[in-house]
Order: sequence, then C-alpha cells, then structure tokens
Amino acid sequence: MRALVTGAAGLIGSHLVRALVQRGYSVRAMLRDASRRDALAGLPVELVVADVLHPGHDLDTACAGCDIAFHSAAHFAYTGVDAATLHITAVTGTENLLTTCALTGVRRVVVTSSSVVFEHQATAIPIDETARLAGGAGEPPYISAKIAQHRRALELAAALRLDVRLACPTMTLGRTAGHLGPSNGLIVAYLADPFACTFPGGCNLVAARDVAAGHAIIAEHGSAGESYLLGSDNLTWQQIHTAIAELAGVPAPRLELNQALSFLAATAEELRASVRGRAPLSTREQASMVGRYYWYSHAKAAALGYAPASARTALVEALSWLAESPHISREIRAGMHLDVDVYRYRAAVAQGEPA
Amino acid sequence: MDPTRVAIVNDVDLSPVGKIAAALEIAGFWEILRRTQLGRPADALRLVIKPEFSGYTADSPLATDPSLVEGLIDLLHDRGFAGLTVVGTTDSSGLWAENRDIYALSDLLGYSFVTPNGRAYDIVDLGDGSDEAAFPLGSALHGTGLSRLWLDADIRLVFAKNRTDEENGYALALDSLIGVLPLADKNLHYRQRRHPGDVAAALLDVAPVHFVLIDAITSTHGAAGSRAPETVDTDTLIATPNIMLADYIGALKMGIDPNVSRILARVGCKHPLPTHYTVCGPLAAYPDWQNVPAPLLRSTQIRAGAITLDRLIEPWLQRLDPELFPLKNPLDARLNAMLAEFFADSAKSPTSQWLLIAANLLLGLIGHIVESYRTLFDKDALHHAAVPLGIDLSNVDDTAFTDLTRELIQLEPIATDAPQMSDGLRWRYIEDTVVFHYSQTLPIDFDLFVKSVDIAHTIQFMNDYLGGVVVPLAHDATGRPTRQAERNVYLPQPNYLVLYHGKPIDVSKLEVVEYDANRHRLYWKTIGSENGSATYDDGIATFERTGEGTCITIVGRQLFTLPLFWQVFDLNLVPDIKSVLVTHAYRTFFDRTLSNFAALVEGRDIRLGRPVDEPAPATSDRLMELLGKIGEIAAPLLQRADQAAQTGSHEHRETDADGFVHVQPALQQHQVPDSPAPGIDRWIAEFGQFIGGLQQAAVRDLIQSAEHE
Repeated sequence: MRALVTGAAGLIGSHLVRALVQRGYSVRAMLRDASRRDALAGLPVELVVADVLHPGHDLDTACAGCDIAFHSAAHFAYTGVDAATLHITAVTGTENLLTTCALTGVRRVVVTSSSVVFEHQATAIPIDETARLAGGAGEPPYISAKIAQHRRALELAAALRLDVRLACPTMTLGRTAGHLGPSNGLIVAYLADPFACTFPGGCNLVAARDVAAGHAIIAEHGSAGESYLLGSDNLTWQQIHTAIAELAGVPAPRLELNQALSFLAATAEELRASVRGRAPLSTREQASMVGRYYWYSHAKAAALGYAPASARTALVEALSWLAESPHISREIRAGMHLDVDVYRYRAAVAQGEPA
Repeated sequence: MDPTRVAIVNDVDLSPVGKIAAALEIAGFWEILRRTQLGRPADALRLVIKPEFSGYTADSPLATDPSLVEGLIDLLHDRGFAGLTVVGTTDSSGLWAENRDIYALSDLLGYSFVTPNGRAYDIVDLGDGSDEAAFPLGSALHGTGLSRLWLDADIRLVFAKNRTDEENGYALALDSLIGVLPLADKNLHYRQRRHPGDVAAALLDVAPVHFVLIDAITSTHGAAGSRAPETVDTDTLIATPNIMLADYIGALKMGIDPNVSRILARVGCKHPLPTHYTVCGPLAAYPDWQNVPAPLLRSTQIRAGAITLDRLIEPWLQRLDPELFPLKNPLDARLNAMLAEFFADSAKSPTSQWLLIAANLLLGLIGHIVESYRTLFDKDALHHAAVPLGIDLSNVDDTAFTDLTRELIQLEPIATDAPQMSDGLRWRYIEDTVVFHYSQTLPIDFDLFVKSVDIAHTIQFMNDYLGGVVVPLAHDATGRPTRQAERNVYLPQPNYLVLYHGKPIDVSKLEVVEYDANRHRLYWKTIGSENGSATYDDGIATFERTGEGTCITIVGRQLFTLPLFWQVFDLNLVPDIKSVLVTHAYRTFFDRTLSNFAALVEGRDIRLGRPVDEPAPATSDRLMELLGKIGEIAAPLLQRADQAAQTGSHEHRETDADGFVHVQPALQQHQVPDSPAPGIDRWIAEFGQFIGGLQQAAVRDLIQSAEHE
C-alpha cells in the first residue's frame, strides 16, 4: 500500500514514516523545500517536495497514486509563530490536502489533530472522545488552530465524501531533527530551571513512536469520521517533573508555582529569551494552561490494538536523545546524571533491539 | 666565552647615527654578523629590522625615529649587508583608527623608503605569509601563526623605542617584539587573552632575536606613558645582543625596577639574563626622568583585567592627531576629543591623575563583577586559557615518573579508608591537604567508554577545565601516550571563591598512563603552580571494567591556596561548617566530572568557554550597536515627548488690530494624530495583555483555592 506522509520531517511525521516502513508500506515522504532531511536519512522512502499551503502541481504529484494520506504537517508552537500562520497552516493546509486527495483519488486520510480539541478538565478526570469539541475561545492560538482544523476536516470529509480519520495525540515526546517543540521543551525547561519549579494540574505524555504506531492502527482498523485519542499515562506536573528529575539525576521539584506565579515566571523567561535572542523555554500562553488537567483516555484506540509504552518510557527515550542533543546546553548536561534506565535504553537501541 | 656586551652610548659629540655606529661596534654586532655569515657573502644574509611603529602623530616620540632606522640601513649597506627588510604589522589601534596598516602608518611616521644615502628599502607586513605550524605543542602560541619572513631571517633585529608604559612601567624591546606576530588585534590575542610574557617567551623559543637597539635619543617619559607621550631628550642609544638584557638595562636607565614589567618578569623565568655580561657606558638614570607613579601603574593593571572595558576606553584616552589617524567611530571621536587631553595632564595634574586612578579602579571592579558572574552563571562566555607547558622537560628523567607512581599508590589505602562523607565520596585531612576517594560506576560498557574517552586526557575532561596543554613524552606499542607532561587551568574551586579574587587553579604535572584489558589508569603529580594556586594536586584516576559498566575511581591529594579573605577568616575554627563546604565542593566537582565522561561517550563537546583566538570587534562598535537598539526602543517615547512638547509650546500667536494677542492651541495647527506612535501602542498593548493575563491567572488561583477549601 502506498502512503503519503505530510510533515515527514517533523516529530510525529518522521516517526510515522519509520513506523509505516516497518509495517511494509511504500512511503512517499512529503517535505517542504527548507525542511531538514536528517530524520529520514537511510530510510527506503520516496522524498517529494511540496507544501500543503501551495496547492497545485507539486501537491497533486505528491498525492497521485497514493492509497492513503497521513496529514501530520503542522506548526506546534506556543511562541515564534503568529496566530494567523498557525491557523492557516492548520486549516488551509488541511483543506488543500483533503481537496487534493479527493481530486487525485486518495480515498483515505488520517489527519493528525490533537487531544486538546477535546478540552481539558479542572479536576483530575480523564477525557475521552465522547467529550464535546472545545470552542477555542480564549485558548492559546495553537489550540484554537487545532480545534478549527479538526472541525474543518470533519466538514470536508462529509462534503468531499472522503474517509477521514482523526488521530489526536497527547503531549508527544521523542527524537526530532527539527526544532525542539513545546512537548520536548517541557523537559528542557525543567532541566534549565534553577529553582526546580512544578505546577498544579497535569497532562498525558506519550512517545512519538507510539503515536506513529497509533496512526497506522487508526488507518488500518479505525472507522471513517472517527477521532481517536493517542496517549499514554495521565500524570500530574509534580509526577512528570519528579520523573524527569529521577531520570536526569537533577534535583526533584522544590516549589509548586500557582497560576499567577507561573505567569510571572513565564513573562520573565520571555524577557530573558528576548534579550538573549533565543526562543523562550516557556511562555505566558503555556502558563495560562497551568492548573488544568489535560488528561485523556486512549481506550478507544486501545480497542483497535493501540498499546503505548508508559509515560516514563517516553521520558526515557526523549531524555536519551535530548542529553546528547544541542538542545541541552553543556552546562545543563554537566549537572545531569542519567538514570540507569536511560543507559539501558541506549544499549538496547545500539544492539538494534526494540526498546 | 666572551660576556654579553651592552653598549650605552651617550657621547654628545656623536650624531644619532654616529651613536648607532658606536653602539653596534661596542656590543659586537658586526662580530655576530660575521659568525652568522658562515662564509656566505654579506648580501646573502637575510636581515629583518623591527622598529617600533606605535606612533599617533607625525614625528611621534613613541615610534623609533625613522631617520635612525634609515641610518642603520646605511651602516649595514656600507658593510655589504644589503639583504635587509624593515618589518611591522598592524596593531589593535587598527580596529578604531584609520591609517593604522603598516604601509600607511610608516608613511605618516616619516619613513621615506630610501635612505639619506640613496639605499632603497622595503617595509613588509608580517601579517602576511604566516606559518601556522611555527609554534610547537606546549607553546603558549601553539596553533597560531608566525611570519615566514621573520622565521627564516638570518638576523632578527629589534629597534625599540625608549618609553614609559602605564601598565608595565616601561615598554622596550620585549614589547616591540610582540609586534611581529600576525594577528592584527595584538592587545586581545597577545596581551589580554594570553600573558604577554608567555607570548614573548614563545617567540624567543622559535625565533630568537639576535640584536637589540633602543632609540633613547628622544624618549617618552612621564605618568601617561604611551597614552599621552611627554618627550625628554636623553640622547642615548642602547645596544646589546640579548633582548632580556636590553630591557633590563633600559629599565635601570629609567631608574625603575626591571621586574615592574610583567613581561620581563615572566620571560625571565624561561630566558634568564646571561650570567656574565659587561655594560659599556653609564648606568645612572636619565636626568629628570619621570616614571609612571605606582598608584597609576597598579590601577592600570587592575583595569587591564577588565578586557572589554579596557578596550572600550583605549581610543578615548589615546592622544593622537585626528587629521592623520581619524577615529572610525563617531562616539570614540567625540569622547577622545573630550577626555584624551584632560587625562593627558595626569603627569602634572593631581586631579586628573586621581580621577584616572579612580576610573581605572571602577572599571577593574566592574570587570571583576562581570568575570565573577560568568564564572558562576555563564561559563561559556569565558575564553579558554592559552598557556605554555610550565615544566622544563630537560630536567625530567625516568625516575621522576617511576617515583611518582610509587608515591601516589601509597595514597590509595589512606584515601580508601577515609570516612565516607557522601555517597561515593570519602576524604580526610593529612598535613593540611585533603586526601579523597571518589568512586562511581557509569552503566556504560568499558570498551565503549575507553573508545570514546581518551584516558590520557582525563585531566582535560574534569569539571571547569579552562585550558592548558599536554605534551606526550613516551608511547606504547600502539601509539598511546604512557608518559606525559601537562599544564592545566581550572576555574577557581569552589567557583564562588572568584568573588574573593580566588585564582584559577593553574598547575603543571607529570603523568603516567597505564592501559590494561580491563583497567586504564592515569597518575598525575603536580610539579609546580605558575600562579601559586596549588601546593598539592596529585592523584590517580582509575577506569575499570565491572559487571555494571565502567567504574571510575579518583584518588587524590590536594591543597589549594585560599584567597586572602579565607586565609584570615580561618574555617578550621569551625570544622563542622568547613566539612560541609569541603564535601559539597568535592561532590559537585566530581559529579560534574562524571557527567562530562558520560557526555563524551554521547559524542558531546564538553569543553567550556570560547576559543582563545575568537576575534572580538572594537568595544565601541558593540556599544554603538547597543545604543542603536536602545534608541529603537526609546524612539516612540521620544517621538511622543517631542509631540507633547510641540503641543505645549508651539501655540500660534496673532495680534489683532486692537493689540489683543490671540492664542491658537497647537493641537489645531499641527494636527497631532489622535493615536500615539505605533511603538507606544505596542507597549501599551503588551502591558495590557500582561496585566490582563496576570489578573486572569490570579482569579483562577482564587477560584481553585476556594474549590479546594
């Protein structure tokens, strides 16, 4: 089966390409001209250059002859990308791809949405796909864009008579050749925080490898028009930061910031980053999400065979990569003492064993 | 062997060039040329002459008098030595002033490229044609270049100028010698990021100077040194084949202790004065000579430690001819016009002098604060230390290595049985030293570990390593070093000692490396410390294969010199506090060292700081850039203030036929826009968002708190 993957150089896209290759798909990996190819190096895939924001010959060619498309191209950012760009990439990009798929005969499309489209809770209760779609008002632009994308994909599926399925990953961690992104960034932010702060609320963490497998499972066993949450364990921020501290060998959380203090800390970080000309490790938009529970149930996907590794394993994999990456500064790395599980994971990967 | 001769010629009956001729004769110059000729014709000898070029006016008393250089060329030609070249290079002033390249500069200083007797000569820029492998491993200049013209010359002659110097007391031949190095920003690369004494010594190692002349016909003396030269007729010429002796005698003639110069003091450790020398001429100090006052000298040295600030104010204080050497940066030009003349009076005006001293101390203090901040919180902003090997290897024999392993092995049981102070760390005091034992296992396969971590470089992988050099002396059959000498520089330990002017740990060591199938070992023993920062820093690092991975054990004995404050505030009187501090310091150091080893296996670069020869723009350019940014931010505010001023003050006044004055509000005339400048809008919007966001967050906190209750 020939599959097109958009955003193939991204965090989820690159893992998806790998997962599909392992499952025997003939993969056409679609990238923009400026995208890095590192993550796809050595994979037996066809690389095509096209942009979902520029429909026409290139996008038509990319879709032509494919049985299925996985649309994972997106901006995942809480800083550095304006709201309009986020919206256009998410909504217009999806419109362009679905329209082109309909025109070129690609009958099935798995769209990478997000768990945040199902809102959040004020208390520690997981949400499933039966929850209503969030309104988007007052949410950070990224979340608003994903909600709009999700709604538009469902509308177009009906209008174009396309088999569209929506994969809704939670906070996805893992190796990426591109920019750090907010999910891996949460690890770096904690490691760089000299005060070892944590927050109220929590989220669901999952490994990019599992999210990729989940996409394939949805494509193979899911149903048209359905959404599937792809997550793993629901954890409080205290639990997440404690796990990072244990795995990285840095101090455990010492201070829980409430929302007002988180907002002030994020403001300070944005100012610091602005002075240094770097991307901030946390933003006021992210701080506005503090205190909420982004907890989700993946029971629906599990019924199709989705079986993710634990959130701790996701953190192990991410830390194993981050520790050796330039995203962690020399000074931060010098203060880290990686847990034996990270070394075991590396040894397993070095021997070609599935971690 | 004949003693080295020094000629001090001050015969009033001799012309300046006549004094050169006499000095060359007395100091044995022609004899040196004859010996160097080795039967070759005189014109086959390649001579290079390095005069001092650092003048900032025509006929500058800071530069070697061009007529003397040309007179010397004629004297050489008269004896058939026609193969000569005058050499020089651009210096740091090229960053902030125009016409500082050697060709324009020599022209403006009065070089005519033809001698009075019609002999044409060339001036060559030694910045061209560098040999990048000129300096061997172990040299402070290893990795930097040196002109092949200078290296290949049969005779290298330095023709220095007699002048005082605010930082070193005097600047004579050793200072001029640094001017042969190729990098243009000489202050940065050869005086600030490296010790100028190490630089001069490294140069003398690879390209000794054969003869030195000091032009003291007209000298520069006084408090301001080269910054604002004050001329004095000393009518003397000094000549000698030994550059150390030239500076030494030159300093004595100034009536100053030669070791006031940190250049001479440092070079003297490696190239001491000849044991036998003869001085022909009077050694009495020049009449009416004035040296740089000690407080000014010391404060300038303190300011020099603040490299960025020192570079910033250099163009502001330098007296110069702005017609010949216009300043590149308008800010520099403005401040130079304001400050250079005022502080030029520092020799005569106590107010000017003490203000300068105060400014120097203030800048030094700011520099210290910045350096302390970087040491504590921003280590990667520091620059690597470039130092020469501090050991004379000719004095090291086999027994030194066998003795050191035997001695260090005795430490092991003492350290192993020390009380456990923290997980994996034991230590105890012996004869005021700390004997410690640190052991941890990294879950990394031994073979992978030793493939990734070069055990012979263990010292360089330790925490806070700032720089140094390792010179292998013996190898095993596979080419791995088994004996080596090393000098290393670490940040002050613990880092917070930098706040108390704690010195970097700078030690020179002999080392033995052993390689077994399941164990690699490095032994090191400190031979000396250039800056007196350590009495003991000896140890054994063992890397051993275990079932869990690689066990790393470090056993050692250390005694570091504490800053004065901590010598007076004796922590031995509060042993419990001291114990906590020592445990924390060792634990932090070795835990971070262990992380460095793990990071090396990951393929990371663990070296802190920036390359020593990283170029730096003129500080004033950076300041202008910063001011530009501030201006961009402040522009909307200024625009608004300007509008407000116009609104308030530019009312339109008209007097009618009855003599009444009618005032029309400015707002109506100028049509000031209702909306403020866009920049202000953005600020207000940002601030509004901030307040709104904070308010929302606080409300959510209150709601959550109420729900919990």
